[in-house]
Amino acid sequence: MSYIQQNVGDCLASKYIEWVPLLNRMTTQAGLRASTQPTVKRKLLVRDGVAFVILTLVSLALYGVTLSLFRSFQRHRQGLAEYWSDRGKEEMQHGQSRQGADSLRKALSYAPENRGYELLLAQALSDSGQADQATNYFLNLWESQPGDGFINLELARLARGKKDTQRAVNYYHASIFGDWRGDGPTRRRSIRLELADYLASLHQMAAARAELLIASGNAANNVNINLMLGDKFAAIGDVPDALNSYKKAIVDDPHDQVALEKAGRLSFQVGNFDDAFGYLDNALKEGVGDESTREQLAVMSQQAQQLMKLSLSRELPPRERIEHLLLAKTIAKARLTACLAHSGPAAQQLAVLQNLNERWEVADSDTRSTMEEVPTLQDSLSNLVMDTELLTAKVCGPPTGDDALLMILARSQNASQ
Amino acid sequence: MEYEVEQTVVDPVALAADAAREPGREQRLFLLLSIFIGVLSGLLVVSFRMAIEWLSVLLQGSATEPRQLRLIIAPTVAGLVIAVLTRYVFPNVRGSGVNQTKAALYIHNGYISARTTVGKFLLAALGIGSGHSLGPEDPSLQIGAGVASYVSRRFGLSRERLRLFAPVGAAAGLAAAFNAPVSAILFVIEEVIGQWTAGVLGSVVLAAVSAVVIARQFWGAQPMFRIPSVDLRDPRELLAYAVLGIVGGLASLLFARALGYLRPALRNQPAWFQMLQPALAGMLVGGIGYFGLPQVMGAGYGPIDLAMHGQFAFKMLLLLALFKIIATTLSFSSGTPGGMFAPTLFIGAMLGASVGSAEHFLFPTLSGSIGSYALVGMGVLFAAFLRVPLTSVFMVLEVSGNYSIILPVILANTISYLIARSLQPTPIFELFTQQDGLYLPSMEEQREEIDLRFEDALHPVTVPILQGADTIWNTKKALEQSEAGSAAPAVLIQCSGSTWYAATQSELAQIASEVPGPDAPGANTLLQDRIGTERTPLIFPDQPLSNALPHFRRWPVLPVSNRAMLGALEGVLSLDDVLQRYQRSGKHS
Repeated sequence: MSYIQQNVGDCLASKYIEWVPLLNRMTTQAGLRASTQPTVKRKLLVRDGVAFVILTLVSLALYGVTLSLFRSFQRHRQGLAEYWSDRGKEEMQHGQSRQGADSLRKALSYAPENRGYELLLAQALSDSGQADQATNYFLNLWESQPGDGFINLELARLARGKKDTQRAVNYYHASIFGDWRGDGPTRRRSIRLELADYLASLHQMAAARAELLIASGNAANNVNINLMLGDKFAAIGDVPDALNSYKKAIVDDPHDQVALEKAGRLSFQVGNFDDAFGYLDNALKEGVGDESTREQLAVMSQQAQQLMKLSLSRELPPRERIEHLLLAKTIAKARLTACLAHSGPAAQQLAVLQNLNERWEVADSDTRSTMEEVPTLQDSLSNLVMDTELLTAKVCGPPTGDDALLMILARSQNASQ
Repeated sequence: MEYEVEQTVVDPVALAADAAREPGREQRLFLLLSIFIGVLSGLLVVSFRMAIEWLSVLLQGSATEPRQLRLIIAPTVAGLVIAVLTRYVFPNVRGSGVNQTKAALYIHNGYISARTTVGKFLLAALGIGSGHSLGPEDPSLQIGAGVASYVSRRFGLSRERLRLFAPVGAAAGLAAAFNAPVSAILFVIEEVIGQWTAGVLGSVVLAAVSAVVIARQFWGAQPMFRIPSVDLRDPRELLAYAVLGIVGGLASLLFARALGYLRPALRNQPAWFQMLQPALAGMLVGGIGYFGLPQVMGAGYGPIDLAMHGQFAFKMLLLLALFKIIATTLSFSSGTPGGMFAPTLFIGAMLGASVGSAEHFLFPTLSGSIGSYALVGMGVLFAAFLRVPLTSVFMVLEVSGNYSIILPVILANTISYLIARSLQPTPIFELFTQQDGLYLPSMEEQREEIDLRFEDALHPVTVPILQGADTIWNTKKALEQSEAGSAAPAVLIQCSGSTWYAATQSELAQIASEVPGPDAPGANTLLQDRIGTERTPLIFPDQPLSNALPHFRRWPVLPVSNRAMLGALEGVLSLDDVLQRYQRSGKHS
C-alpha cells in the first residue's frame, strides 16, 4: 500500500484507500452475520420502529402547525387582495385607470390565480392606454380561455387600436361565437353591431351589411332594436334594409313616433312619396315634441302630398301619368324659358340650355294622343322634364314652387337609378 | 467563517455496533428516511416562504412604491439585527447555502447543526423579507440538508450514509422551494454530489418528490410563475435567442466579477465594519428602491412575472437587470444570508424580456411573445452564472410546462454557458469556497476530467501463455524448455469458457514441484483443474483504469479481453503499467 501511495497521485490513492476499509468491513460483517443474535435484531427493529413512530408524530404535528399558519396566512393575503382590488375598481370607476392598474397588480400579487382580478387589470391597462401591456395580458388570459367572449372582444378592440384589421375582425368573430355566460344573445348582437360599425369605418360596406343582416335576422321583435338596426343600415347606405327595419319597428308599435318619422324621411328620400306621406302624417298625429322638427315634418308631408300629384312614375295608370307629364311639361318649359331669359349664362352653360331648348322644340309635338299611342314618348318627356329641372338649377340657382318639387322628383329618380 | 466548524456528533457506539450487525438495515432506512426528510423539508420550506412573505408585508408594506422611507429603514435595521445574530447566535448562517451543504458533505461528514438550520431559516427570512436582494431557494436547500442531517443522526447510521443525507435533504428543500422536482434533483446531482449512483439517486428522487407533494398541498400545483404563451414563431428567431445567449453570458460575467471582487474586499475589513455591512447593504438596496426601483428588492418574483407578461418597457428592463446585479452583489457580499437563484432568474428574465422587446420592435412579424424571451433568459443566466447547463434547460421546461421552447433554450443556454466558461473559468460557487479558504470538489471540473481507461495503459501480451487444457507434466516440460517462460514474472493460463488465470512464477514452481516425473500422481491432471475455479476478472479496454488497482493485490498481471471475442486478448496490464500511465498523465496536467 505504501508503494502505491508513493507513486500514485492523491486522487488515485484516495480511491484505493476507500475500498480497503469497505472490504474490511464487509469481511467483518460476513463474519459476524452468523453470530447475529435474534435479540439484537429485535432490539434494532423495536428501536427503528419507535424512531419512525416518533418521526411520524413529529411530521404530523409540524404539518398541523404549518397548516394552521398557512390558513391564517392565506386569509391575510386574501384580505390584502380584496383591499387592493376594491381600491383598483374604485380608481377605475373614477377614470384613474393607471392607478387602478397598479392597485390591481398588487391585488394579483396576493391572489395570483384570481381570474377576475386578471380581467380587471387587463381592462385597466387597456383603459389607461397601455395597449401593449394590455394586449400581452389579454393574450395570456386568452391562452387559458380562448373561447371567452370578453377576452376576445378586448383583444379585438386592442387590435383595432393598433390598426391590425384582420386580427381585429378575427377576434370580433371569436368574441361573437364565444362564451358570454348569461347575456349571450344581447352581447353577441352588440358586438356584431360594433363589428359592422368597424367594417363600415373601413369602407367594407358589403361585409358590414352582412353582419347587420345577421344581426337583424337574429334580433327579437323590439322597436328599439329595429330602430337601431335601421339607423345602422341607413348609415352604410342600405336604404331598403333600413326601411325594412323601420317598418318592423312600426309593426311592433304602430304608434312609435320615432319609427314613423324615420320611415317617413327615408321613404321621402327614396321617392316613395306615397308611403312617406302616410308615415309622416302619422308621425305628426302621434305628436312631435320639438317645434322645428314638427314644422320640418309638416313641410315634408305637404311636399310628399304634392309630389304624389306630380309623380311621373311608370307605376301610375297611363292616363294619370300622361296628365302629370303634361302638367310637368308646362312647369319645366316655363322654368327653362325664364332661365334663358334672365340668367345670362356663360357660353358653355348657354350651350347646355340651347341643347335643352332644342329637345323641348322636339317635345312640343308630344300631345296627349301621341303619348297614348307611343308610350316611349312618356319616358322621353319625363326625362326631359327632369333634365330641365336639374340643369336649370345648376345654371340659374335653386328652384322654387312646383319647380322645386319637380327637382325633388328628379333627384329621387336619380338616386333610385 | 460560514461553514460548519463543529465536530461531528456521531451516534452512540453501541448503536453503531448493533446497526453494523444488520447489513440490510441501512439501505432500508435510507430510502424510508428519504421520504420523511422530504416531508419535513417540504413543511419547513413552506413555512420559510410564508415567513418571508409575512415579513415582507410587515416590514415593507403591502405595496412597495418608491419614496417610502420604510424601504430604506426596513433592510437597514434588519441588516443590523442579522449582523448581531450572525455574530453571536448563528455564526454559520452566512452565504447562500449551496457551498455550506457541499462543505457538510465533503468535510463534515454530512453534519449541519440544528442551530445553523434554525438560524438560516430565521435570518434568511428576515433578510429577504426586509428587502435585501436575495432569494429563498438556496437557503431552502440548506434547510433541507439541515433537516436531513438532524434526522439521520438520530438513527445511528454509518458515516457514509450520514454524508449522503445532506444532498438528499438539499434536493428536497430545493424541490419544495422551486416546485420543480426534476430541476432540484438535477441541480443536486450536477452541483453538489456530481455523480449518479442508483442508491443516492433513488433517495434524492424520493425526498424531492415527497417535498414537492407537500409544497403543492399548500401552494397548489401551478408552476412558480404564470407562464404566458411561449412559442418559436419563426426559425429565424433563433438568431435572437443566440443574441440572448451572448448577452446572458456577458451579464453573468459582470455579475460574477462584481461578486468576486466585492465579497473578499468586504471580508477583509475590520470586524466592527463587517458588523455594519448588512445594514449598509440594506440601506443602499433600500435606496435603489426608494429612488425608483423597488422591484429589485427581495426575491423579485413579482417583477419576473410582470416581465414575462410584457409589462415593462425596454429601458426599464435594462435598468432593472443592472440594478439587480448591483443590489444582489451588495446584499450577498455583505454576508446577509440568502440565495442567488432568484436574483439570477430575475436578471435573466429582465435581459430576456429586453432582447424580446428589441426583437419585437425591429422584427414584429418574426418574434414570438416577450414572455418566451424572459423565460429563456432565466435559463440562460442560470446556465451561465450558476454553471449548471443541464439543470437550466430542465428548469425552464419544468416551470413553463412547454416543450416547444426547447430549441431556443438549448441554443441560448449553451452559448451563454460557453461564454461564461471561457471568460470566467472558475465557477461562482467554487470561487466563493476558494475565497473562504476551502477547496471543495468542483463538479464542473469533475465533468471535464478525462478518466484514463485500460486501453490507455495496456501493452501487448509479452508474458507466456499456457493452455489450461494441457497436463501439468506437459506444462512443466514446456516451461523448462522456454527461457522466456521461466524469466517472465507471470504467465497467463487460458482456461475453458474463454477465461484466464494469471499465475506468478512461484505459483507455477509450486505446481511443478508437485510433479517430479511423468508417472507421478497428478502429472496428467489438467492445469486448469489444478489451479481451481478462481479466474482473473473479466476486464475490457474501455473500463476506467482505476478499477484495475484492487485486482493487483491478488493478480500479478491482468489480461484485457476483447468485448466481441471474449477469448481474444487486447493486451495485458501490470501494476507498473498502471502507475506509469498515471504518472505520465500527472506530468501532462
